[in-house]
Amino acid sequence: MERNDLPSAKDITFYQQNGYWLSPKLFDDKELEVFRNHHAAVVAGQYETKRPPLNREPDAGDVSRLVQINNAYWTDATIARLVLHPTIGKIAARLAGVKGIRLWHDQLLYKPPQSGKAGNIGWHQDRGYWLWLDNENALTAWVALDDVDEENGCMEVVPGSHRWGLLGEDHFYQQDIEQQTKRIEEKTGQPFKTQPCVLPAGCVSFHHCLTVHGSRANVSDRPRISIAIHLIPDGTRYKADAVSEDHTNNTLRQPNDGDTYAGPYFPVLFREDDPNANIWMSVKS
Amino acid sequence: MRLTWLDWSLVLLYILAVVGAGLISRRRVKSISDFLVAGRQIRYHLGVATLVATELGLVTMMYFAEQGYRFGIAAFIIGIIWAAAYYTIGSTGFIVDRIRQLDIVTITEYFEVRFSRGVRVLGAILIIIAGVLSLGVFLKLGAVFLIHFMNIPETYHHITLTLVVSIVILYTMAGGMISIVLTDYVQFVVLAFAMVFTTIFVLAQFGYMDFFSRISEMYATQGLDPLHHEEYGWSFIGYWTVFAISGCVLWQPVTQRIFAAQSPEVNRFIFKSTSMMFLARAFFPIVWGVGAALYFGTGSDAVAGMPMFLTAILPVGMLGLFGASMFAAMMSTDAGYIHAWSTIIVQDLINPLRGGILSDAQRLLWTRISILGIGLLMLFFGIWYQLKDTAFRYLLDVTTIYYAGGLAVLVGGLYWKRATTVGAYAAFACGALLPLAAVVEDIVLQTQGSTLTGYFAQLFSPNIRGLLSFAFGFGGLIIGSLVSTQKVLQRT
Repeated sequence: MERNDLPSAKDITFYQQNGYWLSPKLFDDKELEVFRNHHAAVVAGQYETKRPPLNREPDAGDVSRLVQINNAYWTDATIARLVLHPTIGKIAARLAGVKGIRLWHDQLLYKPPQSGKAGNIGWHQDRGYWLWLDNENALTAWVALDDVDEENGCMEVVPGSHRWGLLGEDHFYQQDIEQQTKRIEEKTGQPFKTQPCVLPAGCVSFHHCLTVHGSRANVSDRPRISIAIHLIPDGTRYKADAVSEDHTNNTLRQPNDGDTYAGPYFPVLFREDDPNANIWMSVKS
Repeated sequence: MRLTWLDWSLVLLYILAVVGAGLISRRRVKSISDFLVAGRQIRYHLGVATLVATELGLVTMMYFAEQGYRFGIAAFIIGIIWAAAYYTIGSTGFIVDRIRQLDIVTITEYFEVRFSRGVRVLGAILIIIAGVLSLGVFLKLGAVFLIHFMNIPETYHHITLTLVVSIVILYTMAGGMISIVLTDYVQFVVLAFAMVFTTIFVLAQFGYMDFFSRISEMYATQGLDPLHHEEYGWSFIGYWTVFAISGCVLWQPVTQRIFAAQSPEVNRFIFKSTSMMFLARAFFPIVWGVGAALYFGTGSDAVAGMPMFLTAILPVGMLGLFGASMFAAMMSTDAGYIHAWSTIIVQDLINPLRGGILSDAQRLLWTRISILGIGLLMLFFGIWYQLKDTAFRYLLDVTTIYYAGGLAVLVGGLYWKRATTVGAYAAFACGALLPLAAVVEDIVLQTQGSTLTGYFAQLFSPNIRGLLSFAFGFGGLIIGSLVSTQKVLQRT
């Protein structure tokens, strides 16, 4: 299960300068087919483990608009195997320059074919939703389970925007992204140029928690099938004084100021000093 | 936090009942024999209950659950071998028949009778090192359970540890062995119910039949197969078999109950009956641990997994019953162990070093002072020391410091006339060499702020290190005895 497609020093420099990095293919076609089947089951509300996800939008069965399911890995062992994949953890650790990576939460995504504006995901920075984290090293691994391109509404990032600081533009469900673009340009005084993350199935894009990103409508007849895996460095702590809407993850731990986000609700994907921390390391696909 | 007023009431009621029982039993302590071995009047069923309850502590649940969480149902091999060791000892009377016939309170006393006072003191020092080092983990795991089960904020970690130690010390100091035995019986009943019902809830969470297929999905085939498991395998089976036999005859909390039994026949009955319960005590928490891993889909944070999982799935009322029984398990075992080590300190260290002249009142006083001292050491170690491997492995390592030489000295002393004092010293020194070096090196590294694994810990795999330690212990005894002569062969 372990792979050697780790980012080189050049790749790490690219990530540091641009706030994102696209991996080579990490999963083969056979694995992808299994992942897609389980993805479809979870979208349909069939939870293999009998444990529901943390939350989902909209309800099971409704695929008329973007489906977003948080902590889908609770519902399905195969999805857990993907979300907690040690290679993803190892790559994330290298890019973030940390010794260990934990899951913050996952987000199973389904963008329906011909979605119209309902498939738009407004420009946002993940950090805007995660102000309780005591560091800005969190990042997201976005796994393409099928070919993803501009036609079916791939994710787009603004290279270098992770150095703009926090913009207060946290509009995941904003559908008028053209108006948002103008506002961000006025705010930053920088040209707003996006880079589409075109990914063949099995590739993964990694982006910094301050990188501005979003996506446009799916104008194809193919659904966009993916999973976003939000990751934090091992040892990340809860910062109580953050002024922001509460995050559902805090209901899992009910942390106090200074508490670490640790324990089984924030499982380890990779830890340099403990190769056995992630059980999936030793399990064959 | 999912504990409701009903759950909290159950937990608080139980604590009050246990503390009350401890205080009432204090009135019954009339002699040092009452305090140390309950007047040697423990009979069949109470003997089984007290042995099971003492060996069924919260730490046991936690480390078995951790093993299940990390390695799957393959961890059950630990329980099978342990049960077999108890049954074998009970059936054959190997070692225990002979030592019960001696009117002694600790195994180390026998070392003086058979060898010399120096051997007794050395044995006592090693068992105290092993005991106190292991107690640090008892407290640590107890605190992890309480913090995650009751969702106590991380910032209250040290306060929780201090509170737990204080309750345990007060309880142990109040009544000694009588209060421990009395509450062991209550605990045994409450715990048995809680364990069975909790397991039913865990299996129902996944579906009884699906549970095992899920294990092979998550852990691959080795999750069900200890023989081919990286963590276990034949070397572990060899090491753990010798270790488990040592546990039956050398571990003071167990042997204290041998000495407290009315007769050798009672002892045999206790060991045979307990063996079956040792299967259960491994099986239930391992199932909870495996369930937790399946529920969370992860192998990380194994110690916290079980309490967090059970908090998530157990219904109201059952949570309280489980919490109360676990708290009871912690109190009983911690108290039993502190009591056992303090007994050794007084009987085998202070009393012999002061020429064996301590009066009963002085011994009682010193025992209580030792209880306090051990409690403080437990607190310091529990807060400061960081585990690098599983809790089970750590306990194995620190206990082997004493067992490796101790088993050789005990078996040699009882069954080999040629065994000498020099051989006994050599057995202890050689047996303790590898595990002591690994543990001391780790403590030194941690005091320097290093998280690295030491040279001695890496020299051999943990199973081979354990096996070699026992081999060195027996080797030391044989060679040491052959190159020396014993002036006084047997003083009894």
